Amino acid sequence: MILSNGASLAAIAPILAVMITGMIVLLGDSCLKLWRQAKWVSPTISVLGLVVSAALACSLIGTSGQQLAFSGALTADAFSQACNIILAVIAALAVMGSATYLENRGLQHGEYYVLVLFSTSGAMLMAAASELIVLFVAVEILSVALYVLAGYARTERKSEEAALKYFLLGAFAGGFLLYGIALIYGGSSSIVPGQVGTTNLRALGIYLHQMPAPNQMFIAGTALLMVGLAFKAALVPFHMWTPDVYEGAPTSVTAFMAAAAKVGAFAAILRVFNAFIPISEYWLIIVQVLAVATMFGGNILAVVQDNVKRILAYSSIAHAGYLMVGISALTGSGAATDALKAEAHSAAMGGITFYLLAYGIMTMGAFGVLIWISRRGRDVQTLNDLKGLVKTDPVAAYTMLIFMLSLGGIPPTMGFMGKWFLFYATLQAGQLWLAVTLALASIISIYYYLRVVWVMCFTEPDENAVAPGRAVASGGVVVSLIASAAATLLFGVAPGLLHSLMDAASTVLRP
Amino acid sequence: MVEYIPLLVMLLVSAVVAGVMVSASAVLGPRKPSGYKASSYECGMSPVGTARERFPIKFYLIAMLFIVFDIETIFLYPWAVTYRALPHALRVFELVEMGVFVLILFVGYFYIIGKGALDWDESEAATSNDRHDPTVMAPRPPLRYGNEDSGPVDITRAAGTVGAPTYGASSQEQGLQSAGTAAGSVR
Amino acid sequence: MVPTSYYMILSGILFTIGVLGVLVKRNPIVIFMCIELMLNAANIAFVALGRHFAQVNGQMYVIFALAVAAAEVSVGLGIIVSIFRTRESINVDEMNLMKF
Repeated sequence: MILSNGASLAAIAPILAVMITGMIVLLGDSCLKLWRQAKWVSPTISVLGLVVSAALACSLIGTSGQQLAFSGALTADAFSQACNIILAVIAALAVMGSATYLENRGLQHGEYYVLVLFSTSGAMLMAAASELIVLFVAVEILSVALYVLAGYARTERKSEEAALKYFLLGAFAGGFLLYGIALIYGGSSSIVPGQVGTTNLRALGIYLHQMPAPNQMFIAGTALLMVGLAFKAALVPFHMWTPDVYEGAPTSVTAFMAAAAKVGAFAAILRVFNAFIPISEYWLIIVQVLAVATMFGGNILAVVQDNVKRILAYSSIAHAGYLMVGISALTGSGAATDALKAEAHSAAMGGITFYLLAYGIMTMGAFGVLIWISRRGRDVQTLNDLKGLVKTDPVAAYTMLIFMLSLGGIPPTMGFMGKWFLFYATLQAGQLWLAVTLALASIISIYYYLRVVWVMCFTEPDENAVAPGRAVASGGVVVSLIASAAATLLFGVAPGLLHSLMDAASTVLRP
Repeated sequence: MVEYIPLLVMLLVSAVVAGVMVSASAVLGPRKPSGYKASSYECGMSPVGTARERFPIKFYLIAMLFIVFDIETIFLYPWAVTYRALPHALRVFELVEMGVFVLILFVGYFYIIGKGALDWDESEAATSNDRHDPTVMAPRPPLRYGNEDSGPVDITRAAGTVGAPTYGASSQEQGLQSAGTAAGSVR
Repeated sequence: MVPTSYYMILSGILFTIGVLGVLVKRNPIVIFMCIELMLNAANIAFVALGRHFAQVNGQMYVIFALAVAAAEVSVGLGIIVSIFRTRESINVDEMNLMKF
């Protein structure tokens, strides 16, 4: 269904709400003195805007089917609304968690929230994009804001270094992405009737289904597109920037970056490769190799780290690997009949959507605990800082325990259910070996998550790690921690509550 | 291919003419070199120092702002070209859309004005305590060597003890230099 | 009239030069110029293909790519200037506080 211009605007209202909130905060903070002096105004308005956005997305998720907005440039279907909800939740948790942390480090400026909101809107656009050039613009909206956020603590060498590394490698990946789009535009003429080019993913999906015989230029373009997106999603071997950037950036930024950028990147990967399913014989093996390399690379490198932020960075790489397994399951390559293939497709879509939400909440939670411990004015970085945490700060230690168990995929948590859905979808798709690999990689990962738990619970507090000084913390980080911990346990026990979210994702049809 | 031959001939002729002019004046012209003549030409002024010194950071700031706002205007051209071809029903929508686009640009413009990024006069920016720009305008400690501290820096103390490096000659230039401490140099 | 394949070859060469430049250069400003070369190689391909297909799409894509590149330039230069102010050097080999 192609929407008129007015209906298109209504269909992307959640994205517009985030953008408009960003602009209001930008103007208010720079032009109104009172606004600026009251430090709580910018975060409060940002959270309100994100709540409005999530509410709009919730109300639209039921009504929207296959809606093509703006002449097919955006797909405002239920999957994009589901991603809007996930991203709004992540951004709201990030904003609530950051205010005190920034205040303690003397970094409290309104621009922070503006950049968070703008990059959230970029990630939302990535989930909705169905024209490749819109995808490119959305990727850059996300990335440019994140480059600035990575260097937000601009008097610190590490933060600046993180910003430069992220910027140079991100822009490099952007070059691959754009050239890939150009080649796809040129190569598509052999499958599009009338010898013209198109970069519309939906059209490409339909034409590829009719004639799954792309020319070499098209295949080269797909490969470059894959390289660009793999950079953004931090897949091995394109992950080199991730640990450095995550370590150097302020912790609150790292949390948001790890969660939102990955959700956006995977929504985009899903849109692209879903359209290219008819030619999966060309890319499936590459996706599977990337998935295996990313799972093992991320998990094995995480084992040897001593810095908690780096452990979480490598863990986020490993989680990208699990999600790539889901992308591979989309094709249903091993399923016998078309009906089974379709079943595997919808199981994979639901699994990926659930996992994105689970990953976002767990990651925000784990970094949130680091922020919470930093409230005495000491930036927690290494495992040493966590020694004996159960004695000095039992609440923080037990909350961290929940998130570590969830990230490791241990039963009564959301992380376990997410992995189970992906595992199930992979079995449905007839890719048994990949499912076994996923399980093996998860077992490796349990080692380093439990290592963090062991350090917290069974070691004596390090004298230097007990930071002196008065604890300063606001309600925001507490609310965000309680919310993410509760969600991790609740949806781990009763994943059926998210049934509608997972169903929504299966509206993305196999071409 | 044959239609390119006149172009080739023109290139050759211009190369020959230019070559003859330059070499003829070098060979035939009388030369009486003096120190003053050999120095670089600066619009009749006597040259002061090297050109490869640091510029106040404001030039870079203005250049960056210019790039962004300059490039946005190219979106107006395709819009203007297609506008006339549109059916009347769509014209209002398109006009409003471009209005929204320009409005968004204005948000950015008000932001940079609100931050004082366009205030060239230092005294004004210094007197109003309102300015607290985190990205561009805040006075920064000058270059620090060694001993990195990872916390926020006490700006007033750092600026007082180390002192801004100065390169300019006049006191006015020194003011500018210390205000935009240590801009990137062109190397 | 010059055939479209010539433009595609030109853009391919420019793209390759850009990628190689990013890999071998040490100054972030030069690296970024090489990245711009990659983006502009894609722009040449877009314009040539748009003309080949007699579509305006190709030219519109270039405008979007230009706007994005301009935003990246200003943010990138901001980061580089900021680094220069703290370190007095922008050599990427010295960006080694964090390893492995």
